[in-house]
Amino acid sequence: MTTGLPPSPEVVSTTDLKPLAIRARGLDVGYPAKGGVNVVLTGLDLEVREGEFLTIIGPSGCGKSTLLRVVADLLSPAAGSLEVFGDTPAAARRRRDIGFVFQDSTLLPWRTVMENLRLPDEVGRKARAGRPAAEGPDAAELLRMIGLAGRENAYPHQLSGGQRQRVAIARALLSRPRILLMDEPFGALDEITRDRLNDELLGLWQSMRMTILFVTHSVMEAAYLGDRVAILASNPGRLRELEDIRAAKAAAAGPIREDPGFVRSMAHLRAVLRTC
Amino acid sequence: MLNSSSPDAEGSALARIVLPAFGALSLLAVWQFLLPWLGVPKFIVPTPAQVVLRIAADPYLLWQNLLPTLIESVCGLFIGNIAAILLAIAFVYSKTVERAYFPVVLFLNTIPVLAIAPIIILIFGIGIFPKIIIASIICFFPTLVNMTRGLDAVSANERELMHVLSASPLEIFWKLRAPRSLPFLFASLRISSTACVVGAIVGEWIGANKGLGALIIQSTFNYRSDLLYAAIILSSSLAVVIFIIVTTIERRVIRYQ
Repeated sequence: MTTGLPPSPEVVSTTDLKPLAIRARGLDVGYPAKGGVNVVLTGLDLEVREGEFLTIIGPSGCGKSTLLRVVADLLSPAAGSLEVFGDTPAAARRRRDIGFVFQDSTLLPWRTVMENLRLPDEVGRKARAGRPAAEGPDAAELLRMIGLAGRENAYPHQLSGGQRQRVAIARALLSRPRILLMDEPFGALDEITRDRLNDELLGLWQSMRMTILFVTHSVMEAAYLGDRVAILASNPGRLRELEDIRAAKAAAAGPIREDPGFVRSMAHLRAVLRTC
Repeated sequence: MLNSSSPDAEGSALARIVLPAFGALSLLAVWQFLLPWLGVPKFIVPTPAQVVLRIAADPYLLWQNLLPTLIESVCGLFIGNIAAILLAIAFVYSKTVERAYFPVVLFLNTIPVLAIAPIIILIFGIGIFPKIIIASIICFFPTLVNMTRGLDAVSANERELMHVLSASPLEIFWKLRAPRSLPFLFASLRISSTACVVGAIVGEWIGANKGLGALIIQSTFNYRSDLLYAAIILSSSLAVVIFIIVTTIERRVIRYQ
């Protein structure tokens, strides 16, 4: 049959051979609270290879966003360690290795689309000093890629929710981060827009090959986007299961979302989630 | 009901210009003809025509008195607002400073300006300078309160975004806090654009030989009611002009709402 041909790239992924982007060892995170510490995440061990798309799902309060915030150096671990490319999160942040997309687009309303895209260039100069200029698509090219060419001078309130989120993604990608952190970026969008943005995001990821950590509430989104799905349990937040679903998607014959094998993996994810 | 009234409310020329003009002119006409008919003497209440004639007869006198009031109001507007903005910045960056000094400022603000004015005149004498101070005191408080809120009106996500971008504190101030606070600043500038004229005129009442406030006092004592009314109209016009300038700048600066 196919003897003699190299193995299909979908099944034996090259990401397994890539260097580690993120490595968490016994990670504990807590917020100071009345009468002690409120533990959000405990004993988390996780390795993410460069170029991987990891989706994170779990019930409210399981520490999904908290994990992203530790990677982005917005929170410090209480115990254990988290390394980003073998470095501290703070060092990675200063190198602009990290891009962050929030659920609300967090575009500055007094800036036009183009001015919002320029914000990362205007700030943090001191911290970035010495870092070589990022190579990749420029602002105009990114706008074309997200279908917003010609809207450079629009203000955020003149855009739809989906368009605002596209601009937020473009802003994060413009400084060519090696890791893109996305905290329920499409959570506030209608399903059709969300499906379209999922496909666009996969396209951007395939062309730019960054590592993505993507938090979501939607099983469908988690399974559709991720190479692996991390399922977190709550009280206290901890890693419940890491599910590799590349094989199920690679085997799909038609549209992935309707493929029986893919639907079966979603059912499995749901079953695990119910026990969290 | 709603449907039939909305086309006018949408801002047709009729609703925006013709109707207010008609309203004002009709009241002026009633004033013009009702007073003589009631037998009210001219030195008590002049007719609008007499006031217009007074302005036309003595424009130089009025200009001479308008100019100092104009300078005092505008200088007071600038100084009061700049001082308030600087203190608001100190408050935002140091809660200790805010806790220590906000109650004091609040207490000072409760003293009526009519009670503060004589003190200022006593200290600084008769001249333009004490009136500038009184005008700036009037402008100070609304801007302090608004700017303290405005500079802090930054969402958690915006702060996190700036942190992820490794923005320095100075960059966070200029790229985030300052633009965030501008709508708040203009809200208080609208208040102080008219209040600064009140401050200047109150200062001139207490002790001055020039200015619209002084002219108001003198013409009242001399029963020159047409001059009194002319001075009042000029001071209102001055406040309106400053207000319009402020709102015009606001529309230019804040284009996104």
